[in-house]
Amino acid sequence: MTILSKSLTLVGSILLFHACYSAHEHTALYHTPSSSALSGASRFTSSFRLPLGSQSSSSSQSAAASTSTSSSSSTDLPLDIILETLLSVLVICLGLVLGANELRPIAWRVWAGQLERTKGASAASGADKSEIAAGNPFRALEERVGFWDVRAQRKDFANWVRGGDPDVKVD
Amino acid sequence: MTSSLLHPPAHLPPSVALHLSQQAPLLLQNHSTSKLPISIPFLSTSETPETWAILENLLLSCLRTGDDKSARLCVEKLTERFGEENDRVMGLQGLFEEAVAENDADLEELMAEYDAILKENPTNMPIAKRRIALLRSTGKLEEATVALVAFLDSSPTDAEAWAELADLYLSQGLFSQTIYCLEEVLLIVPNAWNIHARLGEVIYMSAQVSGESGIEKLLVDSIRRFCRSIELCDDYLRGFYGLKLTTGRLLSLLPQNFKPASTVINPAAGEPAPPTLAYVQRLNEIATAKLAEIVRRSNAGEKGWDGYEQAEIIAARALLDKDVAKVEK
Repeated sequence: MTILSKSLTLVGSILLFHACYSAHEHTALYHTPSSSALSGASRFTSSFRLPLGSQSSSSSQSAAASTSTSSSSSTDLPLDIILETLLSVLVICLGLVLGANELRPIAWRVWAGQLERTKGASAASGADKSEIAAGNPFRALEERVGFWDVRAQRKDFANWVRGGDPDVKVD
Repeated sequence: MTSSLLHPPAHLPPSVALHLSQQAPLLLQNHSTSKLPISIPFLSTSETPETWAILENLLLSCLRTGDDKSARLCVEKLTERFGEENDRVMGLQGLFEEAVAENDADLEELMAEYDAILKENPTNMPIAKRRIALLRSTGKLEEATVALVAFLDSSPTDAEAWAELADLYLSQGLFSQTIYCLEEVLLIVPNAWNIHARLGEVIYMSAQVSGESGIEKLLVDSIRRFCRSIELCDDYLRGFYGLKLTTGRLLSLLPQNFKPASTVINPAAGEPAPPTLAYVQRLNEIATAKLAEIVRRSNAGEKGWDGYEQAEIIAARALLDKDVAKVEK
């Protein structure tokens, strides 16, 4: 699952990069000729005057019209770049979603049941591990470390050692 | 293993505590060597929030297993970092002194010390708790109760203290006080499923010693508490065990004098109607089925079902077997 998600994300990133690069190259290619054509047209009609001058309003209108027609036909991004961008974003999303950690339970009782049922980090994955290892967070109310009777605990432990439990000699 | 040091080790079995405390010398050594001669803030990564939690839990484990040398080192490191005047460090120091006290005279001296600290600063919660714990540990239950009640007067939202008071009352056999304290705990942490189960257990205990008069009502209360604990936690062995025990007891009582409408219900007080016989029977069946499932899956060692304690599984199996034996008779 992780390999699949990682490769999907990688492929999506490459596609997205390629789409961006294509779009950049496309604008670089088509921007210069159209602007030179525009300046040529304005030079031709209004002889180096600003297009917004009062006496040349008609010529500026025609220039604007010519840019709008030329952009709709040739300077617009071609369909394949647009499609590539959308597809790459979708692929990246898919990769990220597939690679996400196992979802944690929303319902309180499911979450609590998981804490009670499973032991340590054996069953859980990811961020859940330490939480499950901690067990029931409300167990502190039954242990009450603040009121810990350390002397009784020491006595119990000494008794346990004297009891000769085989676990002692393991280490 | 380090992850288990991140959590208070009070509940761990002795073998695990021993294992933890055996790591102490190594951990303490690492702790001292990783420290730079000059501490540069933001650059020295030797100190994380976990460092001190681990050290504190290590201290508890070492005290329990009797490794006083490592425990003293832990206390010294904590003192060095947080200062003598830190409330929590003072509490831990008190804990250490209690553990190494050799005779009653030492303990009395310690008690006088606690009193002096509290006189100077009555808001030192860890020391106040240690004082109560020491009173209880030396068998002065009444004094401990009085002190704890006074403590709760000044800090009524301390769930740990309410739970301790409940335990203290229970050790003196005062059921209604215990129930009151556990209800206070539930006011503070209403989702604590183990406290709901605990309350159910205490009510069941009080039903066992109460006369014939109120036993049914108590049992119904107890069933409600266990049901709530199961509602809050799927596959809660303790809750299902209690549910089976209480419903079984109620069923054994009911057929003799079965009149569900006899109890006076006060709807204004929000008291729900007592359950019908069929309802209790169904609850009992559900609890039996669920306990059987838990025992089966846990014994089979299924993945994700290995968290139950072996003693609890054995007790559940014994309860189920008793039921089967009764049916066969």
